[in-house]
Amino acid sequence: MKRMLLSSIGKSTKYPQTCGLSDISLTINKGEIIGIIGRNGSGKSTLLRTMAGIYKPDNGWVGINGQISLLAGVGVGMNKDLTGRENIHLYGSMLGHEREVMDSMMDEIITFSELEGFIDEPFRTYSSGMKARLGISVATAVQPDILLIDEVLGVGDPGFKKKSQQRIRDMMENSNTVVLVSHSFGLLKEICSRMIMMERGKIKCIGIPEEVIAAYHEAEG
Amino acid sequence: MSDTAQPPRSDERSPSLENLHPKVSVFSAPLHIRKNLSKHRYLLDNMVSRNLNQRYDKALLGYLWTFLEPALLASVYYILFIIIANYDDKSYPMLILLGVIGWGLFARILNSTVSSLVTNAGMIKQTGFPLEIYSAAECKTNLVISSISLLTIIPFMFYLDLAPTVHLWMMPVAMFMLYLSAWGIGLMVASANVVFPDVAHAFRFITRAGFFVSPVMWTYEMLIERAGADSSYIDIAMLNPVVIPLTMMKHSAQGTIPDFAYHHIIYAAVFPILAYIFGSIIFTATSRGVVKRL
Repeated sequence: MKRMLLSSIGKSTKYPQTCGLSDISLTINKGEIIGIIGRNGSGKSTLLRTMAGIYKPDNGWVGINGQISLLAGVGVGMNKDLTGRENIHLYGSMLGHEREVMDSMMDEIITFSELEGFIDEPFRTYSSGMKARLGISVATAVQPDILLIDEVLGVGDPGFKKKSQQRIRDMMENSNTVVLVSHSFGLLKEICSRMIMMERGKIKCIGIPEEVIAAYHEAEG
Repeated sequence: MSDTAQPPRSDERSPSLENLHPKVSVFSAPLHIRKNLSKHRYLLDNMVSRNLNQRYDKALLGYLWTFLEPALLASVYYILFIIIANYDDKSYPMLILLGVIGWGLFARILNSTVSSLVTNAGMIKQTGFPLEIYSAAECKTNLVISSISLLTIIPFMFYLDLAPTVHLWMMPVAMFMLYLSAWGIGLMVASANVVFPDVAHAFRFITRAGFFVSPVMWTYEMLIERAGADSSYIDIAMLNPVVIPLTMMKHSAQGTIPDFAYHHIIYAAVFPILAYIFGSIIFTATSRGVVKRL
């Protein structure tokens, strides 16, 4: 039986500037890939950040089993004046990894990001696609037990997108747990084991991708 | 598919799950922060490098500015007080410089800690590591900068024929007292600053005004001479927690021991510890809760 890896129980979590979550009771098992969809402002990102421990629920609790990493935004926490290599260390440490781990993964990260010729250049000289590639490469190089992804898989050229998706699949095969927020229904349908539809801070429905996506389209009219 | 979340709602916590926001008791908050900093030492080091890089990387002279800035300032003080004003005390520019470095350390740590949550709002909403790391990185950055700046007094010591003595021990102790006091006070109000941005403005004013009521441009001995050792004004002036550390810094370079009343020494020693204890308690209890207001 799969171990329970992440649980989020909230009764009335209110976040004035985003969307208030309420009545969230969710258990995610080890090895699952969960997709979260919903309209803008429905509470998808708030739920993800609550799982990451960024927001503290007013009521209820969030429990995890294992190391958790959140990949949100492109180049979040990376510094424009540091080189790509220095940013790998900085971003890796922000994701909770140790120096030895980052040192040992350095070559693999550089190769995966396809930035071999630019890795010692300042980050400010990178294009947005290059920044995203470096961010995803670091975030997914050291496989955390639980990886939370917020809308960053659709970046980069088609070749890199494919590589990122393949890495997510690899993580699934390695029994890691992934929760991702995305509007790319095709991708979610392809890789998710379960999907959640959020509406006004609540879980509207949860189930297999085809059914949840159909419910979303139905709600959208 | 279900219209509600699955499995059915349960408020019972699984013993195998670690609560992301465990309750930290009041008494263990200071230790909790120390443990977090120790656990995230690699991140802390990277953030300090980033801060230093940000400050000096684009400058032509780079890190040399940490030394050059106080050195140029010292030259100005020398011209002003020794050449133009013809002061008898040739060590006066060095004493001012030490005051400026010490006060700068205190003020920068205090102001950056007060606004640490607001300044780093973007990153805080994207990363889940402990919030005290942001201010701790600023503290460490400023300690590095101030330590390098202290090298400026070496030429002065040669000029004044002051040999280093054992009393130099007071220098790191004084800087530690300044750092702990500033960080502690900052931690106390950092969360309040998220809700009431006026807090940061008030502290910026306090640090500007504090420059004049602290022994930066004057010395403790001048105060005693003017007010008299037994004056009640002295007790009021000594409530300022930086008076003793700044005086210690000046005396450590001169190779002398300052003459403080015992109760003033006890106050100066206890203040940083209490500031840190209360600061860590308040910050641990309130900081994560105000993130949603950022």
